Order: sequence, then C-alpha cells, then structure tokens
Amino acid sequence: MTDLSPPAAFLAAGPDQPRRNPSGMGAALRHDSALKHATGEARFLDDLPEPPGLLHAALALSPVAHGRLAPLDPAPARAVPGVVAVLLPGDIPGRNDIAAAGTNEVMLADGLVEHAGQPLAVVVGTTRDAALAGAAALRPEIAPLPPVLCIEEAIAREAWVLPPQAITRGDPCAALAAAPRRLSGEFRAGGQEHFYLEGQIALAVPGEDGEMAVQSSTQHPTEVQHLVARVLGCDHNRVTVTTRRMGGAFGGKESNASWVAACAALAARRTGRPVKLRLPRRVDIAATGKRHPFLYRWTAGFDATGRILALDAIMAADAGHSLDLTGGVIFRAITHALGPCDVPALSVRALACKTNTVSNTAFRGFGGPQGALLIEDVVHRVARAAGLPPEQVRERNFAGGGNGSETPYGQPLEGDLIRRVWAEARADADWDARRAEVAAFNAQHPYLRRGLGSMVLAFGISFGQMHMNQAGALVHVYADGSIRLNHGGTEMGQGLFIKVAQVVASVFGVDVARIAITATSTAEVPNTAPTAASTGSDLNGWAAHAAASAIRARMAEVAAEDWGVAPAEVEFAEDMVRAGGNRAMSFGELAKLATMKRVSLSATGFYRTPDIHWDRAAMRGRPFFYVSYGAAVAEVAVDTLTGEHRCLGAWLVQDCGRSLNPAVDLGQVEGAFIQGLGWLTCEELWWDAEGRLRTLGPATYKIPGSRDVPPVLKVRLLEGAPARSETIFRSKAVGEPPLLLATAVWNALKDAIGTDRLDAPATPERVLMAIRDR
Amino acid sequence: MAEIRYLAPRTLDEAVGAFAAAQGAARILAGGTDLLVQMRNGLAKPGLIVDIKKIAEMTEIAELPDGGFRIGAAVSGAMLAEHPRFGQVWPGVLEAVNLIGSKQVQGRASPGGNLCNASPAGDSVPAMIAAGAVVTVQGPEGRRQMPVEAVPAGPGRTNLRPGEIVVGFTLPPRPAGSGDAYLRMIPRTEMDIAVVGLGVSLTLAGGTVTHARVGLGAVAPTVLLVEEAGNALLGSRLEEAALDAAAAACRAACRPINDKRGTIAYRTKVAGVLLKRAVAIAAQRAQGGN
Repeated sequence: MTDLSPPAAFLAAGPDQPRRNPSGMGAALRHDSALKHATGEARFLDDLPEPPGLLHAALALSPVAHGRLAPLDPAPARAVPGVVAVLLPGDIPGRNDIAAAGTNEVMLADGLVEHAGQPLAVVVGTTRDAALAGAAALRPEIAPLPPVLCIEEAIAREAWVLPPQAITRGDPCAALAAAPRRLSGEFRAGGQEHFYLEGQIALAVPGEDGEMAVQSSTQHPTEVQHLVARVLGCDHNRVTVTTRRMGGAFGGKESNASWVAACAALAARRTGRPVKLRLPRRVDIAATGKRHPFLYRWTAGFDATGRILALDAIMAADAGHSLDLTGGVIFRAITHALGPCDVPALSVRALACKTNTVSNTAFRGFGGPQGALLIEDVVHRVARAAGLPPEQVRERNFAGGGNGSETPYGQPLEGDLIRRVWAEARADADWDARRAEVAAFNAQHPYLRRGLGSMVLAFGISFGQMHMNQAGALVHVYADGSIRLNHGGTEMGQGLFIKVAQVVASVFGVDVARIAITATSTAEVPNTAPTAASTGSDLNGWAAHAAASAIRARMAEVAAEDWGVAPAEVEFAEDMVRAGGNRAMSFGELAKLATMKRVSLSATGFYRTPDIHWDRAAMRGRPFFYVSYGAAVAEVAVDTLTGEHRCLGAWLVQDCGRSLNPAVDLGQVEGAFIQGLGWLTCEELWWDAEGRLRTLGPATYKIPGSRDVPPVLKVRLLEGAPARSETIFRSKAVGEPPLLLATAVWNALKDAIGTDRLDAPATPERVLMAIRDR
Repeated sequence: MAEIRYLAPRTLDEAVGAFAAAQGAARILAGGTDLLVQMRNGLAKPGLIVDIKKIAEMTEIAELPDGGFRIGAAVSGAMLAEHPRFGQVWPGVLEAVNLIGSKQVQGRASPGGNLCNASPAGDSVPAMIAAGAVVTVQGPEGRRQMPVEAVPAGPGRTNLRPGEIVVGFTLPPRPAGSGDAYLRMIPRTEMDIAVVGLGVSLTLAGGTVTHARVGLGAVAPTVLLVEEAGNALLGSRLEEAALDAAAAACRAACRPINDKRGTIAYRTKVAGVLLKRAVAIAAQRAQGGN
C-alpha cells in the first residue's frame, strides 16, 4: 500500500523553523500522517476495505489460572448461527508454538492451562458477533490446580522461566562488612498494560500455492512471518507480512502481535477464506502480556558523605507463565540498575519468576525503568539515613569525576553528560528557589504537602540480543525523480517514517515531499529486527542512508559523465544537481537521464551496529552502541487526608544527540514522561484471589487523562551535544529513555510525604497508607 | 441477533402502556449512556426499547411556584447546566450530575437514568438524597411519589414495581441560608467512577444548622441517606465536635467491599474526610459565599 506524503507546505512545523534545510535532517517536521490522524483519513487495519468472503475470528479464553484442561467440546460454539469453524490445538498443521525467544510456548492451551485469559480455541464466524458468541458458548472443563500468583511464592518454590542472572563487581560481601554504615530495603513496582489505542488485529488472506498474505498491527513483521510459518508448517517464503501503521504499540506488539496474526492465519488456512481477528479490549487486556512487575530487596553500604560503597540486591521480575521476552527484560533491568551512578562493589541478581499470570512482555523501556528504580530507592534511603538531600547523594555517586566511569559490566558512561543534563534540569526548574517555596507552603498548609523530586537517567541503546542490531532498506528513484522508500522499521505513531524519510531527503538533497513513505513488508525488506529498543531510526536510518547513497553515487556518475566533470564534484542540494558553479539540472532531469543511460536507480541498504559485544558467561562486554542521558525535576502536591496527588510541574532535559527531528523528539519525550507517570502513579493491575485480572478496561484500569499532564511541563532537548558514537547524523534514540524521567514524580511523592517506602503505582490509596505507616 | 423493537411515544401513558405490556423485556432509553453500553457488551438484551425523550414532561425543567424545581427524568446534565437558576439554587446537585462522564456523555446522560441504573457509585444520587428530592413514578396503577433514597434496592436493582417509569424529581423550595455540595474521591483527575461520593445539604440560621442531610455513595450496595450524620450537624454551629460526630457517622454507615477500586479501610477513611470537606463547602454557600 503506497502512501504519498502530503505537500511540503503541510509538513512544515511552523514559520519559525530554519529555512536553510527545510525538510532534511534536523528539521522540525510534522509526523507524515499527523493531518490524516486528525481527520481520520489515516487507515488502520480495521479501516481497510474488507476482502470478499471475509470471516471473523474470536478467541475463547481460560477462566481459570491453572488447571488440567479436558479436550474442548466444540459443539456449543458450532451450534451458534454463523459459526463456521472451531479451531483447537489438533487443527494446527504446523507447531503449536509461539515462543519468541525460547521454545514451546503454546498458542492454544493443550491439556494444561497456565493463566486466566489463556487462549483455548479460535472460533470463526461469518460475522464478528457470531464468532464472539461462539467463543462465549464454549464450556471448557478445567480441573483446577493450585496457582502461583505472586512473586514471593515463585521465589519460595524457585519457579523460574529462566535461570537467575547476576552482575557482580569486586567483593560486595567484604565491602558491605567494611562500609561505615549499612541499610536494607524492600519495595515493589507494578506492571503496566500497554493500552494502545488500536487493539491487536490481523487480517490473513490465503493465496495460491500455500501463500498467506498477512496484514498485522505489529512492531515485528518478520517475527509474524516466522510464527505464521511455524504454526502453518510452511516455509517463510509462503508468508508475506505487511504493516502500514499501528495505533500505538509500546512494546505490546513486539511479540504478542505475532500469535494474534498466527491465529488469524490458522483460521484462514483451515477455512480457505480471508479471516480477520480483532481482539475486543477485554480480551486484549486478559490475553496479552504487560510490563513486568518487580520486587526488590537490597542491602547497601555507605559512608557519611552518602557515597555508596557496596550493594547487594535482588530484582525479582514476575515473568508470568512463560518466557516470552523476559530474558531481554531481565538483562536490561540488571544492566540499568545503577542508572547514572557508580558503585564499586556490587552483586545484582535478577530472578525471572514463573507465575500463573499472563506472560509479561516488552513495554517501553524493557526492564530499564524497573532497573533504574533500584538505585533511586537506594539513593533515597541512604539520603534519609545520612540526613542529606537525595540529589546530593545521587550526585556524590555519579559515574565519572572521582568515581568509576564504567558500568560493572564494562560499558563506559559519560560523566560529563550526566552532570550536564542534571545541572540543566536543576537550573530549568530553579531548584533552590522552588525548594524554599515548597518548604514555605508546607509550613502553612494544614493538610496539603508539596514535594520536589528529581531523576537522572542513563539508558543504553542497542538490542541486548546482539544479532538483532541489523536493518535493511529498499529505495527506488523513478524516472520523474520521485522516490519510494521502504525499510524494516514499523510506524506506531512515533514518527520513524518521517525521520527516515528526512535521512533519505538529505542524501539526495531533495524536499522530503518527493519521498513516498510505504508500508513495511517482509516481501520488500527481509529478516528484519523488531522496531523496538528505541533503535528504529538508528538502524533503519543508516540502512536507508546506505541505499540512498548507493543510488546517489550512480546518479553522480551519470551527471559527471554528461558534464565531463569528476563525480566528486557533483553536488545534490535544493532539488537540484550541480557541479563546477555553472552546471545544473533538476534532480528529476538527472533521474530521467540515468534511466536513458540504463543505470539502475534501485538499491538495498544494510546496516549492522558496530563495536558491540557481550560475553554471556562472564556477563561483561559493551552491549550498547552508546548511552542516552536525561534529567528531570518534578513538583507534586499531596492531599495527606485522602492520598490524592497531582504533579504540578515537570522540567525535563533529554539528550537526543543532534536530533533528526526536534518536533517528533519533543513529542516522544512528553508522551514517554506521561506514560511513565501512569506506570508509577495511577495504572494498577488488580487480580482477584483466583488470579483473574479484573482491570480489563478503562473503567477500572486508569491510564492518565489529559488533566494529569502537569500544568507546567517544560521539555527541552539537550543542545550542542552530538552523539560521540557514529550514529546517523549524530542523533540519539528517544523512544524509551524519557519514560524513566517520570521517576522524578515518584521521588517527589516520597519527598512530600516523608516516607521510606512507597510502592508503585503510588495510587492515592497507597500514598495514604504510606503516610499512616511512616 | 434477536429483533429489538424501538418505540418513541409522545405521551407518558403510551410509554407506560408499552413498557408494562412488554413484561420485563423492555428497557427505558433516556440518554442511553449506560443502556447502550450494556447492550453492546451483551449484559442487556431488551426486546423493546422505550425512548422517553419525546415526552415533554420528561425533558422539562420547571420552577415551581413555591420555589422548588421539577426535573424531568430524561433531562440531560448539559440542559441542567444551561438552566439560568438551577445551578444557583442547587450547585451541589448540578456538580454531581456533571461529574458524570465526559462533555459528550453529559449532553446525553440524565439524573433519571443515573438513579435507575442503580449503581452504588452513581454520582448524582447522593446529591439528590442530600437535597431531599422526591421521585415521581408512573406505572400501570397510576402515579406515586417516593424519596430518592427509596429507589435503589441493590447493585443494578431498584424498588420500582413492574411497568413503573421514573417521571422526574421534585426538589423542595430552598429557605434562605441554604447550600449544598457534592464531593467524590476518584483515583484519577476526571471521567472516573467514585470510590466514595458524598452529598451534603445544609440550612443555617444565624450560624446554627437548622436542616442537614447527607447522602453517601459507593460504600454500600446502595447509595445511603446517613441520617445520623445529618442529626450530628443539626443544631450545631459546625464546631469540630459536630463535624467529628458526623464524619464518624459516615464511617459507621460504610459497608463497602474490597475490590479493584479500593479497599474497605480506604473507602471508610475517605468517607469521613469528604463529609467534613463537603460540609465546609455547603456551609460557605449557605452563608452567601460560592
């Protein structure tokens, strides 16, 4: 599906933008679909014209958290008018295995149910209502087994989805014993539902010779391709997966979209007709994974200056019932457990607990936000114990300066950038004056308490799985000089497509309006990584740059030959091609000339991130191409009689290197902060005693509303700090890191109520209980 | 899919006749902000929908000669907000009605529907109870009146007899020195369902409380009239001891459940806090502040 960009006049973000490079790299352009999103013209999967003969699928889910499942009787569903098929594990022609990283994770429960909400059957009907009614008519017989529903019980049983991982440095036991003071803590952080606006959906259309064309709302078309092929028992080349755009994903469509698409493909294969599967919100929330909840236990040794000398910590993640992407989440949690700080001697152990809940998955930050909470809690407690402000203790432990400048596993950190983002956020917030104001307010108000908090983040950029750090692109220039761009990255609203288009526009020296942005497809660019880990523009930007550069080199030769100049003299700028001051033709004229001269104007580009490595046995290496930094200050007010609270102001500074598109990047920082605010303060997943999630919609699961955005929200990109690694145009990733900035709000709440422990999400009820317990 | 019949009668008699004849298979449609969602989720499967919005009496706001108000059951929150005087006389009731849903929902949703939906957490109900509103009901056996607090029977259930329709609310005349207020606790800043909701209506004479009613929602199977709380305030000058006693009465009236919206301990504690705060607002309004 081709999607031509709107004219450049509609793309310009504002009259105050620099005109020198109106649409190339660094221009604050609108998201390419922004207007269409607003008008409703942007087509999401469910908006597409439906193919003739389309059937609809629905999932039947387990009502029980753990039990033995008797073979399901399809008769009650088949009796529902309009139901065409009821598909059970025995109907799967290939393997009943949807594991993203490991093996043997079933798509449809077969004999054993491991969580409430687990898919048991796919019911296919002539209408969606018929399919849903059929699914509701099934009566699964499940002999209950005792479920494991909390992290503590999983730890007691040593029930893991993968063995514990640990990062150690020095001798933490000896260092703890030698430290002047010691302190222990325990706290927990809850999970988070992605709550993408567009729910999980896929449309599978069977073709000839065993082909299956799948349109999927996925961050990972290649994995959809692999899983569909695995479930259908066919080669990858039979399956084509296309994704034009998602209505939000946030990690929730990295692995979970794959099995949704595989269910649709199974139904299409068994019925021989196109099948659409769109999960209702309740089913989506019940059946798809969430952010991992964590339990933390730690002991720290420190001195009177607040220097943390030793840390022994356990971070226990609730993986849910299966592995999914938990290995990667755990990895990022332990590699980010010190944030921007240095602790000379430590042991951080991560546990991947197996419970009878939905299998938790990627969520913006991918364990990084959970990891960073550890050092923030330690800093907060050490500060209280030492009688120092937490900000002073954090600064005392910043990497670099007199402290170590390498993470315990060998990744270098840039102490100067850490100190710079913090100094700028502190200045933006006018910290000292604000602190005095807060104290004055608290001295006079009978029951409201204000608080100030801060956060400094260091977030490593690259996939933890080394092989995933690759990307491909396919660029065509047509004879009229218009350009078609395709790459392996997917658009989920984050603005990847416009950023990569800007890269290509820069290479060709043309306006971005000349570039057609197209749907991601496994048929155009194969073997791709998911659009995840904030790497979308880093990887695909370079791949597209390579493809465009190859074509430009050929075009330069054509022009050089025509003009009798050296190819190096040919310049591409302002939609023109020039050489030697007096030679010029339009980009379109050169494209036409190149086709007449029988020169190929199509190229693939490929990129793999250099210089990264990881030794899994030693748990050491340099897994991240570079590190992004950011800092935040937040002010809150707490009603100490009800626990209600508001974030009154937030001042954020985020390092995006030399931003490819400041308009898009600022939007990402704002959105990430609010999503982080939701995770830490209001979004609560609530399971009943039988292990059924009872917060299955917006009436009970509380994502932030527009009024939760702080009245003062000052967001700034760090200026004059091009990336030091060779990133695309020296930009830095932005998708995930700023989510961690919301930790400033959690810290501010603790400051306001003066408590040692505040579990997240800090709902009004939890804040009130913390006030009582303090 | 089963057939659903839709009727939009012009008269109340016609509506009552059709509703009663359907023998429980019919549902009344006012704004539809609860009913249509329930139908979409398969929780309600009516054979007949009786739309009452074409009946004049159901959509009118009338000021009565004695200074009271009569509000048709299908009057929307937005219509109430646009009325030139209602919000001046009953600011607490108006606030409660318009805490329900978003702007779009407020353009449709009615206090009559909110009452008949019989959610323990309905926002307008505690304020109407505090106001001492009386509900007019019409059924096959004619008209009758009942206090608002007598309507809910339990979550999703009312004490209306078969075939009966709520026609409207009558709010009593307001003596000078009166004020009301509604407060609710929700975990987010907007568009949420109350964890605790509390309405207060007061009349003060020379600083002394001469009339006080308290309605309390979301802490029991039905919204409650907490007479003990009103009695604790009556005759007082809103001294701390009277407020403490009224707050204690509210806490004592709580019979909540632990659920995804809040624990028993939390709801109970907040009920007392809201009582004091709502009384303060109502008293300020009674004394001419706003």
